[in-house]
Amino acid sequence: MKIHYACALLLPVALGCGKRQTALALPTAAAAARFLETASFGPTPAEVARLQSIGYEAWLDGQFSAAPSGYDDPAPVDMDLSVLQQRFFVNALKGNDQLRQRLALALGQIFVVSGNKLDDPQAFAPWLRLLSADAFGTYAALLKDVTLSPAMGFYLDLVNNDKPDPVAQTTPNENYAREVLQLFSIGLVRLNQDGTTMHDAAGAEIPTYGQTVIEGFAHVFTGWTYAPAAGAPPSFPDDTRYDLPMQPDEAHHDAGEKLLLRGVRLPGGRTAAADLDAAINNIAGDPNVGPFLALRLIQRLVKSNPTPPYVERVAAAFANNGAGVRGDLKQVVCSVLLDPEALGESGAAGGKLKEPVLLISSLLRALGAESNGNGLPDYAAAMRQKLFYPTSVFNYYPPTYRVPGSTLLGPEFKLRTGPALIAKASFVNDLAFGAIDGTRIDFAPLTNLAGDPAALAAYLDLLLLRGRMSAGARTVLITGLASVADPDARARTAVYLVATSTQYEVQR
Amino acid sequence: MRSRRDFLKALGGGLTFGLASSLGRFEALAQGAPGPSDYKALVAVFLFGGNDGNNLLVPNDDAGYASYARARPAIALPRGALLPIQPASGGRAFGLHPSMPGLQSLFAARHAALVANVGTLVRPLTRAQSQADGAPLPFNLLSHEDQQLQWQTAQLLRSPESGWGALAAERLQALSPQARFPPVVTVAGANIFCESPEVRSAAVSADGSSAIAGIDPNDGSPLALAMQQLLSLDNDLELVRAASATTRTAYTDAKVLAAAQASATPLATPFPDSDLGRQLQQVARVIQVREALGLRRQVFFVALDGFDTHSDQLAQQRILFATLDGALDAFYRATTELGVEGQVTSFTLSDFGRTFAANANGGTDHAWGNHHLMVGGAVRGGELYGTFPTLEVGGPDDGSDEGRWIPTTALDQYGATLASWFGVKSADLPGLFPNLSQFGGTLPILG
Repeated sequence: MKIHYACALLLPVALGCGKRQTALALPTAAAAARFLETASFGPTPAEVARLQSIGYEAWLDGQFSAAPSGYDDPAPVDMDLSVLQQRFFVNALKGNDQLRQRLALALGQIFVVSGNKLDDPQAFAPWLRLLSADAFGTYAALLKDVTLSPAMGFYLDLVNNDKPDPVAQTTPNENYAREVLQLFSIGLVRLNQDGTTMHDAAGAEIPTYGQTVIEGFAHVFTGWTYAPAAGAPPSFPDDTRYDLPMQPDEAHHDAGEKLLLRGVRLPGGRTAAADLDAAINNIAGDPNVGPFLALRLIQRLVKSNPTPPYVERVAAAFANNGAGVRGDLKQVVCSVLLDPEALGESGAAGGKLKEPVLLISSLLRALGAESNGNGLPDYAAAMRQKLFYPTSVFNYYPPTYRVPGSTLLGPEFKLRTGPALIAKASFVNDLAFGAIDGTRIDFAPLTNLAGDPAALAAYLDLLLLRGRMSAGARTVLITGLASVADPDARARTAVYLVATSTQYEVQR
Repeated sequence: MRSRRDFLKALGGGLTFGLASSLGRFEALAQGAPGPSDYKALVAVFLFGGNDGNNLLVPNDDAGYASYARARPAIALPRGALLPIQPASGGRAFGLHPSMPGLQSLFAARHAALVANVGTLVRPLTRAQSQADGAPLPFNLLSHEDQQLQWQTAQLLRSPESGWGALAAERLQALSPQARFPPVVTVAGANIFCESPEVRSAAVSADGSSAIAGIDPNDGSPLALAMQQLLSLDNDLELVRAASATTRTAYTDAKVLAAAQASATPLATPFPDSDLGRQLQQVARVIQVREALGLRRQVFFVALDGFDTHSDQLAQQRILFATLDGALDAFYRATTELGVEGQVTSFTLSDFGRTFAANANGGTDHAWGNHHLMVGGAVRGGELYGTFPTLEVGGPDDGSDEGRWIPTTALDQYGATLASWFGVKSADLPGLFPNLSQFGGTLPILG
């Protein structure tokens, strides 16, 4: 059964990446590989060649129109999210809609629903489809669909949130109100459009909201329950179902005034739907959203430490897609991926650590692996990224996590403890020397080169490191490989050494 | 007259980098050479999400229970279900959540203490003061992320740098001149409690696995050499340099720990097969080999998720407290098996307490002051420390109108009590707990 998220299609979003002042040149192989690390689950030789011949904009146009890979309806016998995890990897390895899937993965790490609480695949599949369907729509449409999603309603307690009850001495719960502001839209402090924190005349940060505003939103988000049976009116609390958006029962919607952001006050006595629409617009229209979202999308796709001007350019694309539309995610993505800072050379503060899911999929894509995804989720979990099960609504890692021993941000480093590193080596060991359940790799192209360690090193340099390996590193690799006599073992050892290197772990 | 160098040689160790800063502190050296019995460990148990301590510790006198039940009828525990505890020095009767029989026994045996209404606090505040404009409150008092950082660092500012657990270990590095392993260990992933500029922490997996598959970069083979060399090349990106540094230490730590544990007798104490049970079992296994690791002071960090009970709190806490209770109880037994029960103190931390008033979904929302526990042989247990709040929504102890208790014991006091027992000198405590001087000093919980 498909969910109806038609609203995402009705708004006038521009096709493609819009007009540019100067057309982008066709990329070199290294540049194409670098771009594909940001816009797909990892470069393959074929995709690099294709991008080189058609150019960035045509590649992106193709991505915007590629059909979503999707998730089948789970069977009743599926007891946890593993069937969805496996399908994720199948899609990541082979799906044509690479960018949409990257974006869905990114959005799921901003708008978090975790299998820790919602372990039912029948509930989670529609959630994953939502993120994919809305990835190229507008932010406001996405925010509304997320807010009305029964999966999110269950996860952050919006579903069956009730107006105040003086007899029972209860008040609306504040969970969704708090997290939708803190994590999904504006954050805790006022931001400049370049993502830096605003300060008042006394040099202090400026909070975006106080407790009264939280209570205002908490009262907005009252009266929503699971969709009723066909033909029946919503009746609080309706039976749990995850295939349709939540519906309001007005008898449980708070009728009082509600204070929202920036001093906006909703009058009392309006319907739940009217209040919700006003709240969504109030949030989506906040000037913080552009820079807040820009930082996070840049971090998920391109680099952990964007410069403020880069953030500002992406925030500008969020504010106006060039055709007067705010929050056009397609234009935001174009802005993120085609920015000179994304396409240009990385300085010392550049790069980002591949999160375990990306490390696994990029390595398998590069090697042309065939996989049914069976064995892969366990490796990601051992590397401390259990797919679809982040520890909390704060995701696997916060955007502001600092790299140990540095002042730079590096969210993915939060997972990178000793045990996670050893698990990573174990994954590469199984891939190179052992077997991974459900995955097949043909090492022949590498074995054929094994007689000439220099050629083998050069091939892997291009395949995995975009030709960035220095002469010194190449010499070290060749010397090490010379100690392995058997060609097959030598080819696999070469893969092991390059794939476990920090130069492979960190995407430039 | 012995030179400093002779004196230090007598302590049985060579000079390490940490010693230089403590050469002036003769008071430590004057106590004599530390022996194997001079071992101490702190075990931080973080309850992520903000635990509702209001249902962990409940008044059990008639008037007290009545006020409890009156103000949170939707989620009050039935009086008959409470596990009675009576502080040894007299005073009111209390009850523990029904899922905590282990804690009840430990309390009765005087190895567990409860600390009432602890929270992040810049300075003491009345209700009126806390609600006034410009009140000096910790930043973002109701935000998970900020309060988690503040409980782990005692820095009530926006950008905390170091955890007080790691800083405490840093101050006492001189006691472990032959350390072969970091003094701080996390079994719950990277957390700032374990991070400080001078002290490295090690991460241990809760499932106890540490075997290195593939090429062991320390085995001296040509391939191991290649791996090591690659870690210092092509490092133009700072992220690569930082990653390479961690890779080196991760492999070394794993090898050292595996070697130390290879000859250890498996612990007889059974641990529950829960996430927290597994973590604390690993802590016990590391404590077991403390001498092989050359450590006389250790700090551990374990954690349990799921305490953000905005809905269905009664059912959630039934499971959460059972998990916490079983794991803490087993861990205490393991420390007695190892003969170190008087030298290991476990304690809880959490983002914040929760509103005394319930919400529409049988849950509670983010609040402030909370009740916590300490367990160990050095604990002067069987007592309730601190000041129990008046359970009145909108009453004198409420910093809001939903029952958010203004803490009467500051996190600084709570942490300083533990750090002081651990061996941090009084003069060093403000460096770990910047607001300590605003309050009435440490609590007499640890002997």
